[in-house]
Amino acid sequence: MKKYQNSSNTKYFDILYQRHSSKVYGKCLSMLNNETMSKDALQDIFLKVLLNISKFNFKSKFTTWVYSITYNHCIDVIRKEGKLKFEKEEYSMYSEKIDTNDAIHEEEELLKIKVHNLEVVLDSIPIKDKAVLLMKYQGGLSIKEMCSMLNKSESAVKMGIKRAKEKCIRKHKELFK
Amino acid sequence: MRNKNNFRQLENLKIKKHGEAPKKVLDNIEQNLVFFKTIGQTIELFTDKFIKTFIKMNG
Repeated sequence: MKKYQNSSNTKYFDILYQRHSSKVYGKCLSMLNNETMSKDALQDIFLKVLLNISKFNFKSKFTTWVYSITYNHCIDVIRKEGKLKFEKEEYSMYSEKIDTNDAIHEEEELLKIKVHNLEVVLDSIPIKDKAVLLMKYQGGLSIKEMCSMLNKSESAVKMGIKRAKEKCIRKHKELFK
Repeated sequence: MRNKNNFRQLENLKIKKHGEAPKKVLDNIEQNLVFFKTIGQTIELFTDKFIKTFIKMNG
């Protein structure tokens, strides 16, 4: 990364692409559920990475930075397709507190879902809920990173994740139990 | 978080289903890079010429 930043030699960008393209493509497939759209997204994401690489400041991991570009881009794609509406109030209206024990229990339950069932469940919950779950559990983004990505407060993001987990678990029970 | 949780397994499953990330995308990116560089150089050249002409005209 540093070598590419310092030299702008495409050879180093090739290496970055080889290292990260597969993961980025997998994330695009998980979000977009469409091979052609994912291939286009992959190209656009790496173009964004290329054009913005000078802005990367090493405050986070390079992969985290790339994944946040990936999720942002996929959200934009879905939004343009008209399938996603991030209603402002949905992330800001919650004032109730999150019970830590409940959160741990829900997380355990969520991570126990079998992978094939998870695929079906994620496709049947609203896309914004799917997006936050993928950001957290697949991309490994921290709450702070999600806050800056989604431009939301920490409590709003935490509540968004909680709601998404609840919907996912409920849907799983509906479909598979 | 577990190292290989079900969400990450799902990502691998999707890759298995749809195949690896295309390698040729990189060529397009490099073509884009060349395009942007060319545009950048053209703008630079034009700005340079414009400034020189401007200075000439205004003494």
